[in-house]
Amino acid sequence: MDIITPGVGLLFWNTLFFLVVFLIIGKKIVPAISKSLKDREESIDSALKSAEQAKADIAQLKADNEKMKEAARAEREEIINEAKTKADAMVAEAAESAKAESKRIIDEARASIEAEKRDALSEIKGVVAELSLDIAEKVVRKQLSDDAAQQELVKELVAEAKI
Amino acid sequence: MSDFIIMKSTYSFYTRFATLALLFTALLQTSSSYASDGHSDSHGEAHVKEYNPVETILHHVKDEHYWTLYSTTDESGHEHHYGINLPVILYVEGQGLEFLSSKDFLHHNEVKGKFGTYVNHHEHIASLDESVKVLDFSLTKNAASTGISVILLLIIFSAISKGYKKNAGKAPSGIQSVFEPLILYMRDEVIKPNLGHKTDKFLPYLLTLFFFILFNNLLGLVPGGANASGNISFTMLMAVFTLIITNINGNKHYWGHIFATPGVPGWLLPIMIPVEIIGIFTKPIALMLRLFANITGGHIVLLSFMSLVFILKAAWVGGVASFIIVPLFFMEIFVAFLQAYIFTMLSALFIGSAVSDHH
Repeated sequence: MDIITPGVGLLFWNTLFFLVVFLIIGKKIVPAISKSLKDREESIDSALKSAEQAKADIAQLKADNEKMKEAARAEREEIINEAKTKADAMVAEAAESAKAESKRIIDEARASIEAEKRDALSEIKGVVAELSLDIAEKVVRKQLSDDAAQQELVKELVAEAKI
Repeated sequence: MSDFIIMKSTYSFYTRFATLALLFTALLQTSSSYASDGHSDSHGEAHVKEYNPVETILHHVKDEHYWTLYSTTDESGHEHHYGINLPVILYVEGQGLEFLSSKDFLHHNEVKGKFGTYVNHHEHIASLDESVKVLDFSLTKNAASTGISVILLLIIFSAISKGYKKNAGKAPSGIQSVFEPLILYMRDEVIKPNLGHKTDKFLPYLLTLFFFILFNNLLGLVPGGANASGNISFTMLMAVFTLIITNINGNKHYWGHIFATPGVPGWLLPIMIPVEIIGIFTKPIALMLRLFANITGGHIVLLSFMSLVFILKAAWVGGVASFIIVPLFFMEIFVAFLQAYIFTMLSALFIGSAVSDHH
């Protein structure tokens, strides 16, 4: 029966031993261990979280870069298009103005030709009148000498008068 | 499953150790078993009594004042005991403390002290004068074994604690990494599920409890070791601690459940209240008996198989029995962990149910 009868001596020693262990390990060491375990878990946790954050940041950055590139590309496209349309417009304008200019020049030329022509004509008219007067004078001068000769003279004069 | 992993971490160390331990235990049991039977013969004639396995086994399972490692009987029939001489401390009522040596009590010797003469009768020390009451506070084999476990615990845990200071925020190293899985497993899988946010409050007690029981269980398996954690005093004490902590911290839900069990009609309360009060005590009693029976039972089973050699009086039986003893020994190491785990888990459960906020 004494196997299931607790002895007072053992109870005393075991209480003492357990309390010693509890006061030193339980009260001092376990909280310290628990705290450093928690600290480590937290630091690992935060490290993982910041790594995740960094990853997200990099992804964000990449996405931003891509977006910026896209925007730049679009802008370039726009600029090019604009330039093209501008150039086209300029070319068209230039052509238009060249056309107008040429037309103006032509018109001017035409007008001056006209004026020239008119001047020439009026000059010719004067010359012809003079010539006619000369011819008439010469005809009148040679009238008396020969009829045939008169005829030839007129011919000659006419040939002479060819401008 | 995780228990198994824990087992594995200590496994390699124990494979070599246990084999040695087993051989050693077998040897020790041999010499001392005769010693416990054959008391010195007054006729001076070598005489070996019939081997009594029950007596031998119970002797080894129980506590003793002198830590016998082995003993021999010489040709003249005199017993020689070899072991550790532990102090015998007696409190003689009305007189004071008596310090004696357990070696003197061997061979049923009467020992004279300051206040009287004492004799050790079946590890029960009494005064020859029957009117004098003696309380035995001796540092017995079990007490000494527990003392050794305390020293080991303190050495190991100060090393672990140093490890945590040195490797703050870093991976564990050395002995710290051996114990960290155990500590983490106990905290995360056993204590936290039962105690939730109150884990930190009870972690010191429960972890101390776990390692205290575990170390004593394992020390009991060391050859020549004592059956410290298989002693009813030891298990009773642990159970009482759990009982005290459970009831000191019990909140109003806990006491409400005992004195006014919800959903029970009023006229049933005179029956329910005593039942609930008995319930307070049955839980720790179950804890006490479970640990006691498992550890003592394990020792008895191992010793029974070892006794086969002496019952059948043939050396080859030892070889055959080893095929049973070696696996059993490993099972006992497993049981050492398992029982410490169960005791702690159930303590956490009881405390958890006493302090839980919700119902």
